[in-house]
Parts: sequence; C-alpha cells; structure tokens
Amino acid sequence: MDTFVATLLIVICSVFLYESWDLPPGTFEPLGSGPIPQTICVLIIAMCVYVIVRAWRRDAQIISDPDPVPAAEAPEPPRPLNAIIVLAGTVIYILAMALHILPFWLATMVLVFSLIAILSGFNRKSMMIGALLGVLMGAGCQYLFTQIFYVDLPGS
Amino acid sequence: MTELITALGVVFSPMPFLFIVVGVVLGIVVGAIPGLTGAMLIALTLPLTFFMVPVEAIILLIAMYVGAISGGLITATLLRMPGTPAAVMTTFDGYPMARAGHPGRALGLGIGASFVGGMVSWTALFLLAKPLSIIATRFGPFEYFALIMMAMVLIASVSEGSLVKGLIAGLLGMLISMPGVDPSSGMPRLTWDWYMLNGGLKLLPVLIGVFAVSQILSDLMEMNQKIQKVEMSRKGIFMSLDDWRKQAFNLIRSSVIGTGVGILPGIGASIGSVIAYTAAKNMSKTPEKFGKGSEEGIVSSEAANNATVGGALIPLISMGIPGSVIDAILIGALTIHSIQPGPTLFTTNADIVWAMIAACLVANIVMFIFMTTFVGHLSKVMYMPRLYVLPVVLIFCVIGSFALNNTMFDVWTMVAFGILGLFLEKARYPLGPFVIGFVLAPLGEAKLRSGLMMTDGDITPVFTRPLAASFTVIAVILLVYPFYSEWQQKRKADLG
Repeated sequence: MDTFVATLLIVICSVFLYESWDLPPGTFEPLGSGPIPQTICVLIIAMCVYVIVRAWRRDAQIISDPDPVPAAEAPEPPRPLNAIIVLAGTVIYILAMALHILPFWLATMVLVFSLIAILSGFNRKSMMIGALLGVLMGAGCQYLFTQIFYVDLPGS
Repeated sequence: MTELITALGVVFSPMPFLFIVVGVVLGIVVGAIPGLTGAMLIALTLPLTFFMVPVEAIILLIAMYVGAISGGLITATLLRMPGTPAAVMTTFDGYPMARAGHPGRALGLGIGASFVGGMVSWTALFLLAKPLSIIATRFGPFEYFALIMMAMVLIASVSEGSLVKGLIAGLLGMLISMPGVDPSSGMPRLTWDWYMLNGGLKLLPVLIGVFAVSQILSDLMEMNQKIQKVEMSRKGIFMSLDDWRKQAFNLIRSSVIGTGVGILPGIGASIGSVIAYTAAKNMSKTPEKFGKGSEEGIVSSEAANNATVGGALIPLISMGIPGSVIDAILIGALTIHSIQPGPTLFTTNADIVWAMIAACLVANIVMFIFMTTFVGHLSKVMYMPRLYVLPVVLIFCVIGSFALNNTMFDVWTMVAFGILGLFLEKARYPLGPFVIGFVLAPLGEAKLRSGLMMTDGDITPVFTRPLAASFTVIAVILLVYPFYSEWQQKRKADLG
C-alpha cells in the first residue's frame, strides 16, 4: 500500500509540476505564481521516493525474517468489495442525476434500497428496512431541503 | 465581561439555545456511533447553515464540536471502540472498568472529567483569546508566514504515523489548494484550461470527501469486525465528593495539558489525551493499574480531550489559525458566512466572537446535564447497524457537496477526494495535516508574497525578525528532532 500510494502521489505531483512549468514570472511581485507549487511538488516527490525506498527495505526485511501472526489473533480481513460496490453505486447515482435520468427523490430511494439489499446479502428483513429507509430518505430529504431549508437538490 | 454577559443573553434566547441543545445532542449521538466523527457531522451540517443567521450557525457548529468530543466516551467505555479518535485513551481503562461490572462508574468519571476539562479550557479561552489577538495584530506578513510554517511542521510531527507521511499529507493539502485564480496576479493557475477549476477546489467538497466519504468506504470494508460490548448500568454515574477530591489534581493537570495542546496550532484532542494520560501514569502512585480500569486513566484522558476544544478555539479566534481539524472546518464556516477569521475578528465581528465563547460555555454545561441524564438511552444508539447508517450518511454527503454552489462538479470533487482520502488513510497518512494544509496554504502564500513585495524579494526577515525567527527555529527543531532521535536510537541499538 505504501508503494502504491507514494507512486500515485508522485504521478499527481508530476502532473502539477508539468502544468506549473509554464506559469509566467511575477510582474508586480518578485515570486510569481509558479515557484510555490513547484517547490511543494518537488518536496512531495522527494519524500515519496524516501517512503518507497523505506517500504522496499522493510518488505525485504520481512521476507528474510518473517514474524507471522497466530491464527487465533489475526483480525477479520477487510472486505474491499463492499467499498467498491458502494463507490460504483454512488457514481451511478450521481451520473443518473447529473444527466437528468432520474430525479433526486427516485435516485435516492433506489440507491438506499439497493445498497442495503446488496450489503445485507439480500436478507429479507434488511431489504424491508432498506425499502422503508429509501422512501424516507428520498421523499423526506426532497421535502426537507426544498421546502424547509430552500436548498436545491441535484437532478432537479 | 460586559460583552460576555451580552453574548450569554444572545445564547440563551430561544432559537440559539435550541441550536445549542440540538447541536450538543447530535454531536454526542454522532460521537457515540463508531465510524461517524465530529468532523464529518460538522462538514455535513455546514451546507444547512448557509441560510441561517451567522451567529446561530456558528453556535450550532460549536455545540456539535463540544458534543462530538464528549460522545466518543460512551463507545470507548462500552464497546472498546473509540467513537471519536479523541477517545482512544479512554478505551484502555474505561472498557476494563465497565467489563469488571462498573460501566456506570466508568462513564460517570468520564462525564465529570469531560465537564471539568471543558470548563478549564473555556476559562483559558475567555482570558487569553483577546490579549492574544491584540498581540497577533502586530504580526507582519513574515511573522504570519513563519507561524503557518511552524503550525504545519507541528501538525505533521505529532500526527499519527511517521513525520514524513505527516509532512507529505500537509504539503499535498497545500498543493490541492493551489489551482484557481492566483490572488496576486489574477491569472488562472494550475487549471489545465478547464473553466470549472478557475474558482479552485472548494473546502466543503474536499472536506466531505476526505473525512466523510473515505470514512464510509473504510467502515464498509470493516463491517464484518466483531465488537465486544458490555451491558449498560447507571450505577455510579455521579462522581462523589470523595471522587472529586481524589481526582482534583489529576483533573486540573490533565485539563491544563489539554488546553495547552489545543492552543498549539493544528493539534487536536487525540494528542492532548495521549499526553495527559502519559503524564497521569508517570505521576500516579499506582501506575500498574493503568490499562486495567484505572480511574485516573479515564479522568486524565477525558479531561484532556474536552479541554482541547476551548484551547483550540484560542488560535482560531485570535489569529485565524485552526487549532484542530474541526477548527479548520469552522474557519471554512466563518468564511462561507463572509466573516474573515484573524486577529481583527474581535473588532470587526465582536458579536460572533463573544457568541462563540458563550456558546462554548453553555454547550459544555448542556453536554454535562444531557450525558448524565440520558447516558443509558445514548448507549443504545451505538448499536445502530452501520448497514443502515452508512447509506444515509452517503446521501447527506452528496446533498452537502451539491448545496454549496448547485454544481455537480463539487459532487465529483467529493467522490475523488473520498477515494484519495481512503488510500491515504489505508497507507497510514494522517488526514489532519492534509486539511489544515489546504486551509492554511492560501493564507501562507499570500503573506509570503506580500512580504516579498515589501522587501523587494528579500526573504531574510523570516530569519532576522525576532518573532518570525523564533517560529522558524521551532519549526526547524520540530523537523530535525525526530530524525535525530531515530538516529540516536539506531546508534544505541548498534552499540548494544
């Protein structure tokens, strides 16, 4: 994870560094727009390289000197699939409203119900609660935000 | 004093008082639900305050802040899961004591200590905020720049995980705040010729993404974790006079530590409670009881974490520097309501400042009464299944991001920063420095560039002006010391 995130940050900073290269120098003040983001990018890249090297050295040490966790003490493994499902559902939800395919209230009902149904493994009781919560969130938020708080909602 | 009495009059009028009660209750409830944090609640509430009177909006947010820090105690004691990061140290002794059959006493000690911590830090806030703001008005651009740099290094050096990762997170936050129209030249910068970026990335979607969406995704990944819970009983919920007497010194010491840590820019409640807990353990006659249900442990942790609230408001009010992550969000709230945080706040918006100070006091009292009375009912809230809570919070995240400018760009920004926040968190990068870097970078850059304009490009005043030089020296020490300490330990180990 260390190597992956540090590499991701190096890529992000490289994009910023490339974009900041053509910024014009200051006319009314000595510094200009570019030097500060450039300095920050260089510092982040340098520190990310350090993190990557440290992670590699640590990994090499673990391979040569393994210290296994006893099975009884090992924590439950995380479930990244849950996060991926919710993230995908959210992206579809936002797209549906951004493209005016569904209004807010309907998109919300569908999202809340489907997320609870999927995450509960299509448990009947949870799906009933999910349907109720979906209606409550869709209709309730639509009324609360548009009629009481006067806040515009996406998809409307 | 007159200003405070006037502000108390405002706070006790029906609507503001209602907001205080609602804010404290919501804060406690959110603090008690594992996975939901005060920062998340306040970031999500911010859009609802757009149409409120600024004083009422700020009062509501302050009340939530006080409530959220306190609510974490319940979960820490009964579930061994800190409801908020600030309550981590409470789990060490609160849970063992509850497990030994005294949950009411563990909670009672925590609530009493939280109240005292809150009151001590409020006193410091009342006494120090104005004098400090007067001193801060004398700061020139170089002093401000050096102070911000010191705050950044301080946040990075005391955040969880390594110093390097803290620094990377802080710098990344600074970098993300750069796109948009350059305030000095008026020209677009780092926008990739995309008009949506001309206004820059807004604080609210970034905050909601980093603190709420990433937390939801992270919680979803760990939904299968088994929790160890203890049955609730109210027996011993009130501290006796003997308890107060026995814990008096610990209470005061921990509260002072919490307040002091809170005042330091950018350091939140978690660090305050760690330091106070360590101090209590080192000075205790029975250090062996720590971690096994020590009363001193619960008291020190809870007094300190609540004390950081008032302490952290001091640099916010007097200098416009956030004392913690939640304070960074409060700075955003002030800005959204067209109030410029900084040393002149006492002169330009005295009513708001005094209302904040009064709200902090009243919220602390409301928190004490509410927690003592309803702790039994509150303990049921934390068993609310995350399966139902998380999708609901997600909907509020979308609404909150959209409501800022009625644009889907902000919603996509929120999603992007949710993913980035998740990656950062999983790789153990602290998120606090990221947000504080994002908030402070524009101010730091503006001060540096205006300073350089004044001196025709000469940066030496950062090292020659007394205050600026002091801040720079502290920053350098903070930066170098962890590496020096690590090198020394390595050397000792090699010699050994």
